[in-house]
Order: sequence, then C-alpha cells, then structure tokens
Amino acid sequence: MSSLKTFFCDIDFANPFILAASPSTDDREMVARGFEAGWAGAVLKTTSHESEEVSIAYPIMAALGPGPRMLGLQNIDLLSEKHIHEIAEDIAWLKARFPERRVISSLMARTHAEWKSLVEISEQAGADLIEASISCPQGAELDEDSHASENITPQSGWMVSQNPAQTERVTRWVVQASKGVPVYVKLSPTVTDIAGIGRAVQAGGAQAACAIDTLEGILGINRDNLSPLPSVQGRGTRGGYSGRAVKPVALRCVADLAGALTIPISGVGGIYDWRDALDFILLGASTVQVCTAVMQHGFGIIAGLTDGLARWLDDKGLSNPQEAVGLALDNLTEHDHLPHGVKVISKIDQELCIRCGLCYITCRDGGHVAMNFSTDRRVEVLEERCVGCGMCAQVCPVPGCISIS
Amino acid sequence: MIRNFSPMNWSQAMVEAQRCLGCHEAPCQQACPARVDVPTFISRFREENLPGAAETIYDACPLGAICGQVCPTGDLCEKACVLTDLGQAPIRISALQAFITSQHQPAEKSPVATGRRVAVVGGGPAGLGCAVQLNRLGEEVHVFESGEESCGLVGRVIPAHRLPAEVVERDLLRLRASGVHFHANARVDGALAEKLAKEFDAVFLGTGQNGEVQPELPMEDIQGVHSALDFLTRARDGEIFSVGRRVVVVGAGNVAMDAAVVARQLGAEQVMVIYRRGQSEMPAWQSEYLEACQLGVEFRWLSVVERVHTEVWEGGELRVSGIDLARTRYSENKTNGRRGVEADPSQPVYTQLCDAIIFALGQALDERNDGLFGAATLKGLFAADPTSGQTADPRIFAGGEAVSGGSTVVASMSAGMAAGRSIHNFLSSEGRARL
Repeated sequence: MSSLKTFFCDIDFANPFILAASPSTDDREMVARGFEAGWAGAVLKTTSHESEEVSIAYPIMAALGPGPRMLGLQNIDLLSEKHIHEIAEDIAWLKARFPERRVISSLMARTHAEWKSLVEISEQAGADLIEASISCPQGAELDEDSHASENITPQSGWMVSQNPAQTERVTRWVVQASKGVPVYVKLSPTVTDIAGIGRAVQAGGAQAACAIDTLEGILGINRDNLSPLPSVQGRGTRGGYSGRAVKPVALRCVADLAGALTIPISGVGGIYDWRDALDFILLGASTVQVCTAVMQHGFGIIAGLTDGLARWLDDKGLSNPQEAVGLALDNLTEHDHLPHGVKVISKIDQELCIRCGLCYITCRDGGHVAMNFSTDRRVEVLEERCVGCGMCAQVCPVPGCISIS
Repeated sequence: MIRNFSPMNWSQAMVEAQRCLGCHEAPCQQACPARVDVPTFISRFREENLPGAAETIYDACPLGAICGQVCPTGDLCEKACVLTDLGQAPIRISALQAFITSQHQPAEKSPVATGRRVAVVGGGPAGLGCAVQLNRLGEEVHVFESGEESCGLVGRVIPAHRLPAEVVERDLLRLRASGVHFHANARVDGALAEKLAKEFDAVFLGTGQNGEVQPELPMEDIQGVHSALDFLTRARDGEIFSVGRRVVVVGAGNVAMDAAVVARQLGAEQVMVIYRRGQSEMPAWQSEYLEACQLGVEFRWLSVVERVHTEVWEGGELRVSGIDLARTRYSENKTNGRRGVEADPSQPVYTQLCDAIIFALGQALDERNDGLFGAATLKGLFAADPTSGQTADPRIFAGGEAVSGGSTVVASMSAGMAAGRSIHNFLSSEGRARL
C-alpha cells in the first residue's frame, strides 16, 4: 500500500494527520495515547506567558445537533491553563518518548517580548514546530500599547489575524525569535480576504500557514433563562464554532490560500473521516489537523483516516499524499468558466425508492416543479421541466437512489 | 410484527422522533382511520413543541391516549411506514403518541353555542367521538352511559396490561372538562328514549356491541364456562384470579386473543384457541395473534367444539372436564361472501381435557337496544348510512360497532366523529326543530 509519509516545512511526518490544539492535546498522557494510536503529530493546546491570566468558565461546550451525528460544536474554552514552562516540560517529556512524532508548540502572546520568550522556551524544550495562534476568537487582544501604536481600538472578537499589517508584524516577531525551528501561523476564517492575510504571513517569513481556526459564533439561546449557549450561570459569550458544519468554509479558505501562497498549508476544520481529509489535501493542504472529531470520537479515528487515505492513493496510483496535494485546484474555477448549457436531469432508481416523496416536496417548493407524485406514491421526473438542479438528490434518504446526469 | 408495549421516556421518544422522514402525503396518516397527522405531531415534538404535538394528535383523535395504547398500529400506521423499505423498523408511532399524550392534554376548545341539543346514547368510542365533534361545532351534547363510567367496552374489557386504567382516565378527564354533559347509569330504554326524543334536536346511537353471540351447545349452569366479555370484565376488575390449568378459547377474534392472553396471565399452563376456519381467515389482528403466540398460546385451526364433557364435584357442582373436538373443512357453499365450512367426517373426533372454556364467538347488538328510537336493525346491527350515520329517521343517527360490527377503538371513534359532523350539518341546514 502507498506510504503516508509526508513532509511539512521540511520535517517528515509518518502521515499527514495531526492533532489540532484542543483539550485533547492539553495533557501529555493523552497526547501519548494519541501518538500510540497513530497520530503523526500533535499541536499542544495553545499556551501563553506566565503573566497571562487564564480563567475558564464552565461549561465550555454546546453543540448544534448534539448527538452521534453532531453538526457543529461551539466552545468558549480559552488558552491552556498551563503556562509556557509547564508546556515546555510536556514537550520535552513527549519528545523523549516519541522522537519520531512531531510535537508542535502553539503560542499566543500580547507583546513582542512575550512572543520572543515563548518561542525560545519552546525551541529549547525540543518542539518540532511553532504554531503562532493569532486567530482564536476567544480572548484575543493585543495589549493597550500595541493598540495605541497601531491606532487600533480593542474590542471583543478582534484578533491579530484580521489585520494584514498586524499579522505580518507578529509573524516577523515569531520568526525572528526562532533559531531554526519552523514557524507557521494559524489563520481565522472571519476575514474579508484570507489570501491577503496569507500573503502577510508569507511576507513575515513564516514557513507555512494553517487554516482555519474556529468561526466566531453564538450557538443559540437557552429558552428558559435567555442565556446564550453554553450557559454559564445564565450568561453566555461569543465562542469558537467548529466541526462538520465549518468544513466548506475551511476548504474554501485553504483553496484561497493555496492559490495565493508558495508556502505549504496545514488544513483544518470539520475533518471527521479520510474523505474530508482528502478534500483538504486535494485543495492544497500538505497536512491536516483534527480536533472536534477526535474530541467526539476519540484518538482511534486515526485508523480509519490512514486506512482510507492509503487505499485511495493506492487506487489512484499515487505513491504518497504529497502527490495528491492540490490536484483538484485546476478544476476550481470562477462561475463564468463553468461549462454552461449542458442539459442534465434527475434520475430516480425506482428499485431503491421507498416512496417517501421528500424529493417531490423539494422539487415542488424549492425546485422547478418537475416531478409527479402518483397515487401509488411513485415519483416521476418530468424531463422537459427538470433542469437538473440536484436538490432532490440532496434530500433523498436513500443513498444512491437519485442521481443527476 | 410483535408490538413493543414498553412505554417510552423522553430520551427514547426524542431519538425515535429523529428517525421520522416526514413523508409527503404520509402513508402512516393515510393508514390511520382517524387520519392523525403523524409526521406533523412527530415534528412538533422533535422541535420541543409538546403542546403542538399533543394538539395535533387530539384534534384528529380525541381518544389520543387510549389509541396510543390499543391501536393495532402494526396493522395500520406502522405497517405503512416507508422505513421498512430501507430495512429499518417502522417508527414506533403508537409509543410516541402514548408518550406525548401522557405529557400533555390540551383543553377542548368550546366555540359559540348553536343553542341546539344532541343526545348521544352510549359512552364508548363512537359516542365519545361523536360528542367531541358536536361539542367542537357548538352543539350542546349529553352523553347517556348505561354504566358507571364512560368509555364503553374499552374501559371494561381490554386487559389492564394493554390499557391501564389511568390511560382511559386521562382521555376521559379531558372530555369531562370539555363542556360535554355526561349522564352515568342512564340506560336509554323506552321511557328515557321518549323523553330524549322530545327534548333533543337529534340523537346519536353509539350503543356498541355489548351482546355476545352465544354458543349453540347447552351449557347453562356448568362451572368453568365463560363468555369472553364477561370473563375479561371480571378479570380486569379482579373478580377472577384463577382460571384453571388448561383453558380452551373458542373463536379467533381480538377478544379471543385477549381472553387467551389473560388466561395465561392468570396462570393457565395450557391455553388453546379453537377456530372453525383456517389461520388465514382469523379475524384477529396479526399483532394480537403474535402477542398470543409469544405467550405460548396454542391454536387449533379448522376445529369445532362438538361436545362439552362435565364432571360432578363435591356438593353436586357440575364442572367442565373436557371437550370433544371435531375437524372441519371448507365447502363449496358461500355464506356472506366467505367460503362455507362443514364438518369433515374423514377426520376423527378427539377429546381434549380442560378446566375452562371461554367462548369468544363475536359480539352483537345488546338485545335491549333492538328497535331503540325506532331504528331498524339488520342482523343485530343498526341500519344507517355508512358515511353520514343517518338512519331512516333523519334525526336519528348511529355509528361505531352498533352499525359496522366488530371494529377498533380508532375506527369507532372516527365513525362517531363523522356522524357528529353529519348531525351538525343536518341541524344547520334544517334549522332548529324538535323531534
């Protein structure tokens, strides 16, 4: 079978799958279990300088569509409650036990001096890579001096990665602090032009970019106490939204960055299985990071990720994941350049059809009224009316029953 | 399919509700005699709109809790569920309905009164369905129930494991608060009938089938011989607590299945159902039959009781000791559109020992109701228009089992509701006039 060995920032990874910064990576014993399960690397939960006060208010999680097929996850978690020196011990501990696995130190700071110190301590501890976290929607503000000097008014939700000049400046601080360990910068999707932010990262000298961090959101409201969710004693706050629902946004961001940058990209956002991961790779990600799916289903999902990806590469005659990076980018075009005017229509496999009529409803009220629903509950496509919009195939509960061709 | 009678809790109900696809012109709704809008009530519940869910149920089915418990859904809505075509179990519609109705009972809405009065004779499913419908349409309704409590045979006969008393009470409580006037212990016979005819604008006969077809064998004063309705009523009331080791049930309708199951529950080691026709012509619902099978009830198809053996006990008491069973076969003659059945002389008659016989030969109009309000009867049933329920006398309506014969709670209730609409339409078009 194909090898999954991958290079990212000229460092070799056993496979492209990395544990993203999260509660899953805030405890070295947990990370050790992740490595044993087969994860090639882990971004430890983002840490900070000892001067940073980290006070988490619980509960911190609330899901959209909670349950086994969770759609999205909202968290109001903060940085690791462990500061840089404690994290440095974890880095050294993990590197001593798993020299072949990649330990990535994720950092967040407010001043140049803090950034410098965090990078130096991480490098000394043996971190393989530095992640500059300038994109987390929670608690992300520069100090007063920085704001004043850049003429920026601090406000809730503001983050460095929303401003190209700030991004480039912070990137440069981090890169300059490194004595050789590669640096990548994690970006937020909550920007107008992520390619522009990516260019700032590249201009700042980073070896790679990573996208996306969570989307800033409000999950919902508790209808009894009118508190945003998750509710902390009746009050809530804006948080980071992740999971399946953010994947399309993440893919678009990765594709935008891939089109604009020459440095490699680590893709993250809504990866649950190997097919999701492959989408990121095909749109230009060299490695992928997983957080929500691991938090939900455990480190064991790595087996399905590696198995599925390796078999797909084999099937396509590719010898490693790097050969697949960006292969779909050529097919990503502007709407004007799509092949217009090709007639396609919906086709229903009447053998598979269970006569629920859901396609009929959507076609009647959300399509082109191109279906008949007969008294024996059979749906027929009116070929002259059907434009092949594809909505019927999206609502059909029977896999493989409706196709558009 | 074997009915899962275990009640749901909120968590289970929510998971089950998530499975519903919400079909277009949902087959479950079309399979329901009351046309309960199943996808809508499930989606209301799923959206945590419990009152909306309960109202959707009760709008179509005023006996929502009872039907959630006793509807043969395996033969109705759940049988129609499209999920079975995906190899999945159908949505547990009755369990969802039972749960939702246990959590919320919406009040009946009382519209502007028409000033007219309608008498409903019989407080069973048909009578209650008719009463609710008339009440919703602004008619003043009085229900006359021969017994202590409303709900007819349903409340008296269906075994408690299938229909707990509190479930019946739940639906009745709603109806008692609806504005419908209930008159208990009010058997409508000659004198009262005359009074009602004078005082009410229309009458609905929902007298059901309290009578039973009697066996042709002579067996008066033999201990251990029961009629099924009487047996079930007394078992439910706790008056019968033992039925013997070996029990024979004659007949294969739903009442027979109930009797067989209750006999097992009362400790009978062997319960045998005897039916003169084959299994394919058994009138019982498949779900009821399978439940009986599950409890180890045995079946003897194409068999009839030819003779009852008795023995004299101490004190001179005559008791059942066994039966002679003869085999039958189908004949060329047709009766009521069905194949005829005749004795099969080529098969030997054999003796089956037993301690009790329960006859469940089918129900009939209570003889005392014959000719009530001048309504004509045909083969023990009132003659009425099958859709409107109107009898030869335009002010007298009838519906439910008193018209259709053996049926389900939901079908009788729906027939009553349909008659209620007819009565309202009739009175509205006629203008107010006394009988």
